[in-house]
Amino acid sequence: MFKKKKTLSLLAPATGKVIPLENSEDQAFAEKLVGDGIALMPVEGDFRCPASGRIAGVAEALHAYSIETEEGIDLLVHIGIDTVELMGEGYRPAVRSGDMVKAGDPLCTVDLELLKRRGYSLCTPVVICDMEKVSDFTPLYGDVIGGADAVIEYSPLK
Amino acid sequence: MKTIKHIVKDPNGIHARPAGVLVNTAKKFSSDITIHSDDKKGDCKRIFSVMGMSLKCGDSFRIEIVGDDEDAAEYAIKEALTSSGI
Repeated sequence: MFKKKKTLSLLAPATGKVIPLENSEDQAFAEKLVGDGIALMPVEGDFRCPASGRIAGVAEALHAYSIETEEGIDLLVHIGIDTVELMGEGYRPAVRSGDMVKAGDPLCTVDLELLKRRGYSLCTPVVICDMEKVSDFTPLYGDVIGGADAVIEYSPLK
Repeated sequence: MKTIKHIVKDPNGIHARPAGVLVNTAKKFSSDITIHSDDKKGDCKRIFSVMGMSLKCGDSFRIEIVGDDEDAAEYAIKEALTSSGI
């Protein structure tokens, strides 16, 4: 029996420019210690869900969101570098832990100007934490529209 | 079973990034790895499970490792806790 490999994509969580994860200013992400993915340099603060699934967790500081996709793959969207230190200031989440979401749904509104003023990088790693569950991982670099353009293509392993 | 006892040193606690580092290290091993605080228990291989522990700087916790590769896992997790300043 033929088994066609399914190609899935993760959508850009915000409008901006996608750069290699290795170039993110956070060493742990750059060294792929959390997982593999891309880094987004957002130009707008309207953040969207990269995939359909369940909001598995919202960081207490509201700056990081983990999403379990419909295929059971854990993702992490981490908005800004070291922004845990803001303790929620500048972040207005549109979701709560446990919410079911569709790709492109609102995730969070972020005051990018406030982050910049406080000296934080806007660099947003989007990472697949479960790399052992995926194959054919392809990052897509360049300018993207949030909630519309793909930033990563991959196939889930079954 | 191996048990690692640790006190959180990161001034921001075990937030998303250190949780991710810990999880990614744990996932390299087949052993069952769980994280425990006084009142919570989490799966050390799921990022939201570790984030959801809400461990703060100065909190103590322990990691329990059960399985064939528990020795190697204990070593790697200790190393990750130290090198990532967790």
